[in-house]
Amino acid sequence: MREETKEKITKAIEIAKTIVHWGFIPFILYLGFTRSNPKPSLIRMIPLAA
Amino acid sequence: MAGLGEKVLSKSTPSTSWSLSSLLNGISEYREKLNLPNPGTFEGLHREVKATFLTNQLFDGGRADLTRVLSPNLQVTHSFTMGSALAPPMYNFGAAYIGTKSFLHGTIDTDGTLAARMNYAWNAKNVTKIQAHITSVPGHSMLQLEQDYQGSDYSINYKTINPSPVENTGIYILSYIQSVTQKLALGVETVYQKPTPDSEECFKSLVAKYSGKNYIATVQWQEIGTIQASYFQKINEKVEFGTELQILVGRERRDALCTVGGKFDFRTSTLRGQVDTSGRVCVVIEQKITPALSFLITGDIEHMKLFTFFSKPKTILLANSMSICYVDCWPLLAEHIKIWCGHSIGSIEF
Repeated sequence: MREETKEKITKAIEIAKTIVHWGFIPFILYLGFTRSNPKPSLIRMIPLAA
Repeated sequence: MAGLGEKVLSKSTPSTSWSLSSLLNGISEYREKLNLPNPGTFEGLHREVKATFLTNQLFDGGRADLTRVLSPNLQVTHSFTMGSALAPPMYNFGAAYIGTKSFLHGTIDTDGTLAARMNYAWNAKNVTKIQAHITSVPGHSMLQLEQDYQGSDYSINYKTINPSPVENTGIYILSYIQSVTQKLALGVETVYQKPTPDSEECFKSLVAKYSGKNYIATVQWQEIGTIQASYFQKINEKVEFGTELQILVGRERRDALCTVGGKFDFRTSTLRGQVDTSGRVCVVIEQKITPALSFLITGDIEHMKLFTFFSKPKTILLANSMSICYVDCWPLLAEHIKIWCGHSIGSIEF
């Protein structure tokens, strides 16, 4: 494998890792809020709120 | 199965593959006649025994877990830990999405460490699992890809840990377990390790599992020199016992540890106790005060280490802890609050 390709793959993995690192929890919440039935309210995420 | 066999027969015209397919057909028909049960997963071999032990139930310091069930598909958890002698105070946020075919779970803490888990069921037998552990510290992140297939009388599992296409490194694990008779199942696991591009290792491991009506016995032999045997016995509906023996026969060191654990269910409480040959005694009592409120007391003492002076300096923690679990249920929208508070009686340093 050429050095350039290696560098490109390493960089792509780094970017994917950062996206998953900070995007995974928002993605779960997005899925939960859009696909749930009945639709939950945002305020209930906060502990002890109504 | 006969329908599938006919399909295979009509597709294959050359005589050689015809005989092969009829042979395979015969084997599968014979297998079906035996009507063997699924042996369970390779990982779950010691599950029943581990359930009687209480290694995961011991805690130190204060902890509070708040679970909110926002909808049947979504729940979030807020978890606070503080006052532990071993770990700094921490806040942990978790979210879980439970779909019909998929399951996603992620937790992130104040250090920015993400633990992510994703399962996708292609059908009832075939499940893909992805686990990731991502930290900002370089070299501490982990990725695990897993494919699980459960057949009628066998299970296959393939795992890849930290595969790197650039360096061509990683850990690859393939396991297969097959029911041989109604009670006996045999399995084999191969671990292929390539920590650096120049070095590689391969280990084999063999298991046997014998399960009766109310007992399970397993033996596992690993090529690196460990033997693990376990026995689980359900005495009646309320009393379960488990014992495990681990023997390490390496070139440099030899070691063995035997653990016995018991679980007793009473009308309003559960008692778990465990003793091992290293002199460690632990007990957990869980008392249900009302259906929504339970109270937990744990105790843990390492007797032998108190009298071991010739080994390296070590800290012994004598801890007892209490926990209150509060569960409030509305129809559909349940809320759980769990509060733990541990108190170390003292620690001794040599």
